[in-house]
Amino acid sequence: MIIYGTTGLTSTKATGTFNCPRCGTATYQHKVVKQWFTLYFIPLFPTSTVGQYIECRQCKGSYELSVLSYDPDAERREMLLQMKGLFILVMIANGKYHRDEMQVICDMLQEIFEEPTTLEALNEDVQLVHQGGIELHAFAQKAGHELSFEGKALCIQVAYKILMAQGQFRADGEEVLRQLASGLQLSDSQVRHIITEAA
Amino acid sequence: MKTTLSIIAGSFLHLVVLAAPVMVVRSVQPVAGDPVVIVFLSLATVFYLAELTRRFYPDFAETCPTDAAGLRMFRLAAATGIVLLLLQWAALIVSGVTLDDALGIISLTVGGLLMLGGAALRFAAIRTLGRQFVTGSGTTDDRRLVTAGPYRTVRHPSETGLLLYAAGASLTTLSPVAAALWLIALLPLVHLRLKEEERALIKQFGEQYEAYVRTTGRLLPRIGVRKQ
Repeated sequence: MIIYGTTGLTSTKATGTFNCPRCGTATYQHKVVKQWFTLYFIPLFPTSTVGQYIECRQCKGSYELSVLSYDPDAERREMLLQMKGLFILVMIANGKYHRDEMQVICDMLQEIFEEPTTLEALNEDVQLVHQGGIELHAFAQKAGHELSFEGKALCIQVAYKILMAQGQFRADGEEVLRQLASGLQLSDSQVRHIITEAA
Repeated sequence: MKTTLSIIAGSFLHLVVLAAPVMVVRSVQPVAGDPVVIVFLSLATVFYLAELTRRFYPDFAETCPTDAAGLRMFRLAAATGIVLLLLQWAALIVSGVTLDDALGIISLTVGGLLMLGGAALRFAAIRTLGRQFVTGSGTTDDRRLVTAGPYRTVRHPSETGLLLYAAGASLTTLSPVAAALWLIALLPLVHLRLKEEERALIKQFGEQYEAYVRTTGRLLPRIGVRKQ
């Protein structure tokens, strides 16, 4: 309206540095959007807060306030644990495991996370997982919530390599892949496509 | 109760915005005792209350424009609002009218009637258009072409009302500055806004709007055209 109305105005509440999901460590501005009552389009006083967001000063990306607690190192560590757990569960699904399979896991952790892992250290983790009595499908379901499609595809590819570690596809391989895929909410055709692409 | 209080508060705030600069320039006592100023501010409040009709349509269709055309319209509307405010200030500050002579009484009466008429026309336009009355771009998806009520006589009765009100404001106080603002700022701004608005309306309604243009004047009634 010409005489009275409202308009949204953005102000900066705070600044600082944070881990931008897009460009790494950067400075941010905490923006607050308020609705102002206007007379003749001149803002007179704020009536309500419409929203708040974090703006990266480098890439100009906008994020929710929770991005301030985003820790990429912690996220990477969590991802590493999740995936290592999945790989170990795939390996011990038939109740036993082989040195070649363990070597595949060590190689993949090095390749994906640049995390050097010895067979001895991995063996300790295997014992822990075995004692925990965790079930592959349930673990995959939980991990799947945090993974993107690319992450899930990577899990399937690595699982396939583990199941092929002894030169031929393990007898229970199909069932293990099915359980893993089901937990990650991937269809059979998606799994076939992922494995074909990897090959 | 809350609505009534906000209406009263808004009206008072509007009065303060209009009167405060005048009282600073001319000082409080002369202004408070000037019948011309009192009449002017009363009519300005009536105009404000006429605008307030819009808020009683809860499904308010106005949204913040994001497209180029919408932003252009919004900026033109903002410029119009500011010019209207400046015009009213000019009318109040540079007032040469007194009620001691006939000219003063005539100008106050005619100007006052124009202000009232403008407010009434704007009120009628808002009531007729309902939730479709928007200040910005007129291309909301659910718009239908309204040709009833005041829209039967002119295509933009709300703008006619605005111009009448502003003309009346200039005449009420015989302010040359206000009159100049009406002529060189308000009128061109309204013309620009209506050009943009009609471009959008033709795009939305096509031949239906073009037929409406042929039979109905933009701001003044078209004489000699028989309506079906």
